[in-house]
Amino acid sequence: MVGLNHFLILTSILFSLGLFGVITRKNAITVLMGLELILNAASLNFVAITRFTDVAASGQVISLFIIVLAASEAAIALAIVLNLYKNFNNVNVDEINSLKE
Amino acid sequence: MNTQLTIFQVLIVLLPLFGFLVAILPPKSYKKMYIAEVGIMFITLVLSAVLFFMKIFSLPDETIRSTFTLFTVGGSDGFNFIVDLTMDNMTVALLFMVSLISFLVHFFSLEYMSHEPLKNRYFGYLGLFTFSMLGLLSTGSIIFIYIFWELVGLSSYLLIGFWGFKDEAASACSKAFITNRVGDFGFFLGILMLFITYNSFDLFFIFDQIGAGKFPLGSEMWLTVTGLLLFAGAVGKSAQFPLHVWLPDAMAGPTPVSALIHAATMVAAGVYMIVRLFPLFTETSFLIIGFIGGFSALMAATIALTQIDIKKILAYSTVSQLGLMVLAVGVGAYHAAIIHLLFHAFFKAGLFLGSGAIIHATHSQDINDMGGLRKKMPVTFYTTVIYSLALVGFPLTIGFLSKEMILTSSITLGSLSGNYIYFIFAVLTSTLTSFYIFRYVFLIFFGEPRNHHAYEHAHDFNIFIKLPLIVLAALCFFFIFTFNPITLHGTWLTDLIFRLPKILLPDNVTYSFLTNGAEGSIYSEVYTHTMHASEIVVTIISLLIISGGIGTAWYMYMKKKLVPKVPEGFLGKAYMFSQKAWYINELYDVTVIKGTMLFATLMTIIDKYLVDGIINLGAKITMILGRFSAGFDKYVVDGFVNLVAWINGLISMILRKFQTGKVQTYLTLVMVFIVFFVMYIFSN
Amino acid sequence: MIMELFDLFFYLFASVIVISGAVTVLNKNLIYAAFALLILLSSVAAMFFILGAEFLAMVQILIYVGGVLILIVFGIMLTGQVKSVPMRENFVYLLIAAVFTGLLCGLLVTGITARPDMTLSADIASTPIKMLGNLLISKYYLIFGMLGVLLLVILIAAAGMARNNKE
Repeated sequence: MVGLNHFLILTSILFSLGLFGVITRKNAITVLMGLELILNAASLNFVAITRFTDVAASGQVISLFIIVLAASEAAIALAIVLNLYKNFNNVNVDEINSLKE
Repeated sequence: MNTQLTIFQVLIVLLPLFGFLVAILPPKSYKKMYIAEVGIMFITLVLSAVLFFMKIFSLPDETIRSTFTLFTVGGSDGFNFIVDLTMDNMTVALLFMVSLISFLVHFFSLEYMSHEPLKNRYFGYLGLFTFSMLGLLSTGSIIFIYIFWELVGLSSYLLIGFWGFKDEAASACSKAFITNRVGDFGFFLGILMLFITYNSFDLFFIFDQIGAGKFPLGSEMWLTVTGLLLFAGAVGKSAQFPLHVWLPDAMAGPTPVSALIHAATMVAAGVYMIVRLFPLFTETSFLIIGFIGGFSALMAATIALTQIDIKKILAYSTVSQLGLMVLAVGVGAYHAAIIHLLFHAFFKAGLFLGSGAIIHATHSQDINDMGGLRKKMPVTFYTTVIYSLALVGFPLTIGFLSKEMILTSSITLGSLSGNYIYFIFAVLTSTLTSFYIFRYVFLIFFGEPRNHHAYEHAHDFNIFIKLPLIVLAALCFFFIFTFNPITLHGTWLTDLIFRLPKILLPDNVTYSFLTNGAEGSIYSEVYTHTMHASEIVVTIISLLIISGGIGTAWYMYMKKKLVPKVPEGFLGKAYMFSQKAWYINELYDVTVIKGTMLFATLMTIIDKYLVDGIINLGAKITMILGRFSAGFDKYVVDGFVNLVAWINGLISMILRKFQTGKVQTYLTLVMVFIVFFVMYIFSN
Repeated sequence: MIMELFDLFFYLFASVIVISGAVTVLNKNLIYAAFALLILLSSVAAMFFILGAEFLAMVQILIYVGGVLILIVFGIMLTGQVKSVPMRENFVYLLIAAVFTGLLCGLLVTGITARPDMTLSADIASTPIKMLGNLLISKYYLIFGMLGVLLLVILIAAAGMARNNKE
């Protein structure tokens, strides 16, 4: 019988996959995809908790906000990526190390 | 009234200082500045004349003093340093004399120094000198006398060295300064003696204390020593033997300066000082003072006989006349000394200005370049003759009056005490004086011109040269000062101007005939009586020696037309002895200067081998210790510091690996630490 | 919806989510990754659906699949790097990342399984949209309004940043 824990484990795996992508991929767009994975994991968590506990529809509202934020984040992130490409002529995150000293 | 006079006095003293400041600041127009300088001196002269008459005729008996405390040393009951302004009849007379001669010299210098490039500096120094001299006369505090004393010495130094590009002037100013130091050292010791005894610089207070029987270190002998130490200052400043050597050399300065400083005023400061300190001297002091004065007078007169530099003749004449003044103090004739000081200032300044005119005309100081100048320079000639007559003490001139007072006083002392040495000194000096000064006149103005080139160009100059000569010559006649041509005793001059000081010393300490007499007299009745009796004798002797001296000069230089040259035989040796100024400079060269050099060499050797050796040894030891210390520093201290640095570097090497600048690495680190943190929480 | 069917759907979509997620993260070809992301997002939408959040499922499809994914594909095409976009080369780094990500996941799972499970006894009823709307304009109205402002700002910012400055 599938319960809340199944969903939580699923989102944990999804989150870990997203995190792995964020910290290991070179390409900034792939990093962005990893971020989408993490956001979806969170979103799914909220919905599942709404379903299995007695919190009315608050979780779904938060999920809605997350989707909105994810969309705006994607828009900004892609604008940044395009600017990066313009300035460095690639979008490899590990080669963009201007933060160093 | 007193306040008014004090204000006048302050103005008179400070105006020349203002002139000095005007001259040393860069002026807009030099011509205007010179006019301003002479104008300032003229205002000073007018003010001092007004002060003189106001003081003499309205407050003749008062000594006006105004003092204020500048600062206090050592708490409320400590020593007060007091600024002191004192004015008595002697002061105002001398203030008038100094400002008159200073004004005339300023006026004379306008023409005489007209071709000098640094005229403004010259006028500045003159102003500084006049300020210092007037200040010296205006104070009754011995420390202020000392301060102004040094200031006049300084301005004398500056003015002698005005042509410092000449070696002669440069060494002369140093010589004047250093020789004066010797005397001033004694002067300062004397001041210290007075101060430690009386804890005050106020002369009048000190005199009162002496009158009350309080002597330095409690004995009369120490009072004598103090007096002689103070007299040492006068010996230096007034060029008395043995410190007279600087004055003839000081003639390297401009001639108007010689007239003002080295004939009329500054050198008289020494005489003024011993007159001011008159109540301080004991009988022994007076003996020594009189002897030194008489000896200097005679010695300088013998030297002046054979000099060929016209300014040197006048310089030795000045030494001689100053010696007579000091002698007058030594015989107790306080008023004779100060009157001779005053009168001598007029005719000696005139002689110097006349010689300046001659030098300006002939561009030479050598008496052999002159002769026959009376036709070319009539004004200079007539005035110089008048000054010379005044100097020898010819009747109807002021010189007769003052010299007669000195002779009378010394013969009176001789007949009272049996000590005729001072009288002999004075008579011999007067005889020689009348010879050498007419030798000067005859050789310059009479006879054939010995240097035709100089003779052709000689002429009298414009009003700037003539006016001072004429004014000073007019002052040489007796009727300016008194209506009695024979003697000054009992006239208004001695009665009013030179109010005699109170003699407070006990009779056994000072001369017995000096008493604290009533009604303006310090002399005992027997003294006055003897003096009156000897007056006629002195007049006759005086006339004899004058005519003898002038006659000899006339015989030698007019009749036989001798020219100055070294004669043969023993007389030649004597001549050289005189011309070389008794070889005193050479003696000093051998003893003092060579001795100093020898001592310096000795000290150099000691310094080089002993002191340097010790220092080098110390340096060696320090170096060895330093090496030791350096090794310790290098290996132990530095090693420790390097170890710490190395450890820090190692840690940094590890840590900097994490600082890649890559966002993902940071994120990974964050993740790793979150994992550890969560595991830590779970493990609890 | 009967329970057995719910379980069946869950396992189906869960496996699809994990596989497509792994493909998204690990594939070298960005187009494949984007396609896998499309499947993943759709599966999440399906999950929403079986959890009774039909409105959210629709929003997910509309915004994510229709908006975000299109943006990402545009980004891929504009930067011109489609094929052979590898992982970072440093093996030690990859190892650390993998180990610690695994550890984190393990920790999460451990934490989750340590607590009692919650299951549903009854059939799943869908949440009424009206209720969501009420919540948005009552309890969460402040956040709602601020999100509106945020969207405006982002609209301007994204437009400004993406502009070609060189012109």
